[in-house]
Amino acid sequence: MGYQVHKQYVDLESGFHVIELRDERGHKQVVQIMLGGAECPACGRLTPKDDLGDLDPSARIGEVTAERNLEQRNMIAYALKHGLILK
Amino acid sequence: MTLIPNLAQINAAAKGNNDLRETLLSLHLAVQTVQIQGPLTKVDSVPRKAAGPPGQSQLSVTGANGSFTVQITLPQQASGSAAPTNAANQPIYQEVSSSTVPNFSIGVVTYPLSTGTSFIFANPGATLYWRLRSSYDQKTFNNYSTQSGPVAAGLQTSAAINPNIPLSQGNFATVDSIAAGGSATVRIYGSGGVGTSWTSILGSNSKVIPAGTILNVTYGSTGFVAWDGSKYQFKAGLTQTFPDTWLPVGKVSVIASGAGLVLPVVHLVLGTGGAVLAWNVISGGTDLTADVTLAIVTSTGAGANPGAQTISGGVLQSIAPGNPGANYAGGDTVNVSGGVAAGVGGGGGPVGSNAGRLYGNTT
Repeated sequence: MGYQVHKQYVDLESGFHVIELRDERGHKQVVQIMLGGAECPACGRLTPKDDLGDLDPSARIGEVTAERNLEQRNMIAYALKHGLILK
Repeated sequence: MTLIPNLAQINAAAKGNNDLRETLLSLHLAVQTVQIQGPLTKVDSVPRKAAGPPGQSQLSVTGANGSFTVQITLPQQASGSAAPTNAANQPIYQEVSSSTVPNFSIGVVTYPLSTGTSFIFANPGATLYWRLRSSYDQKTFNNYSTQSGPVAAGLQTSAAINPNIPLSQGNFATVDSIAAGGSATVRIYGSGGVGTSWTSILGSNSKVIPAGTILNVTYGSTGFVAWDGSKYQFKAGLTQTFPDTWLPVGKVSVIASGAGLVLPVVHLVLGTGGAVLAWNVISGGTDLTADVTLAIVTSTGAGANPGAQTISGGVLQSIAPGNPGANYAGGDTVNVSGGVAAGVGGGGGPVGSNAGRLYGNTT
C-alpha cells in the first residue's frame, strides 16, 4: 500500500497541478507541478511555462511517491522489528 | 405533559458520547429550572396594534478606535416637552442608516431593524453621516432624525488590542531545492527530514502541515513559499504571500542549473621566492552562477589564496590577488571547480527560527 494519489486537480489561479497523496493511515503529502511561470506582480496573471508539452506528470508523481514509500517502508520495518505499533 | 428527568436514562442514552451526555444534562437542568419556577404564562402571539408611528427617538453616534457607537434614547426616556410618549413601553423597531454624504443620496447603508438601543459598528477609517427612524410594526415609520455633522470612526489604537495577542509566529519547516533534470524541485519538510510534516506556530497555538514537493521549478529563481490551507503557494514577491489565511513557510533561492557550465582556466603569475603575484584568467568559462573554487596543485608552495572574483554574464572576468604565499614553482597548476549556485534554503528550520515568518526580505 503506502502513499497513493488521493486526489488531483489543476489550480488555474496559482498555476499548479496539485496532487494529494495519502496512505492507509491518513497521512498526507502534497506534490505540486508548477505549470505557471512568471507572474505579473500587480494583477497576478500567470504566464504558462513553455515546457508543459514535455512534462510527464505520471512519471514525476510516481518518482515522488516511490521515494516517500521507500522512506515509510524503512520506518515500518523498524517498527515491526521492535514490535511497535504504527500510527 | 410532565417530564420526569432520569440521569441514569441520560447516561445510558449517551452511550459514552460525552458531548451528547453534556447536552442532554444541560436540557435536563433547563427543564428542572422551568419546573421550579411554576407553570408558564401563555404569551399572546399576536402583537398589540399601535396606531401610527412612535414618537421620535433620539440618536447619538460617536466614533473611536475604528468603530461607531450608536446610542438611541427611546421616547419614553425623553424629558421636557417631548416626554412622555410610548407610556405603555411598547417595543419600538429602530432603523439606523449611514451615508458618506449629508443628504444621504449615495453610499447609504441601512442596518438591520432592531429593538435594541445600543450598537457598535466596526468600520476603521470611515467618516459617515447617521440617521434614524422608528416603527412599532416595522411598516409605518416616523420621520428620519439625522445627527448633525459627520462622525469619524478613527483607527484602532493599541489600547483597543488585547495584551499578548499572538502576533508572533514561526515554524519548524525547511524549504530547500535540488536539481531534477531540466528543472529544480523545491521541498518543504519538517524536522524529521524530507517527507515529514512540519509545525506552524502562532502564539501558543500550533498546526501540523503536510510535507510538500514542488516540481518543475525554474533553476536559479527565488520564491516565497506559503501554505494556503490545501496546497503550497510559490510566489516571486513577498507581498504576494500576504493573504491573511495563508501560513508563511519560508523563502528559497533555488539551486542554479549546471547544464551549460564550462569552468574557467586560470594560471598563476609567480614572482620572487615563488610568491603568487596574480591569478591570470586564461578563459572565463560560461554559465557560472557562483564563485569557482580555486586550488593550486603544488608540491612545494604554500599559503597562497585568491582574492575576490568578478563574474559578469556567467563569465569569470578577473580574480583579485589574495595572499601571495611562497615557494610555488613554474609547473604548478590551478584546479578550478564549483561555479554553480547551490541555492539557499529557508523556513524556520529545526529550531523554528525567525525565518519561518517571512518577515522582511530574509530567508
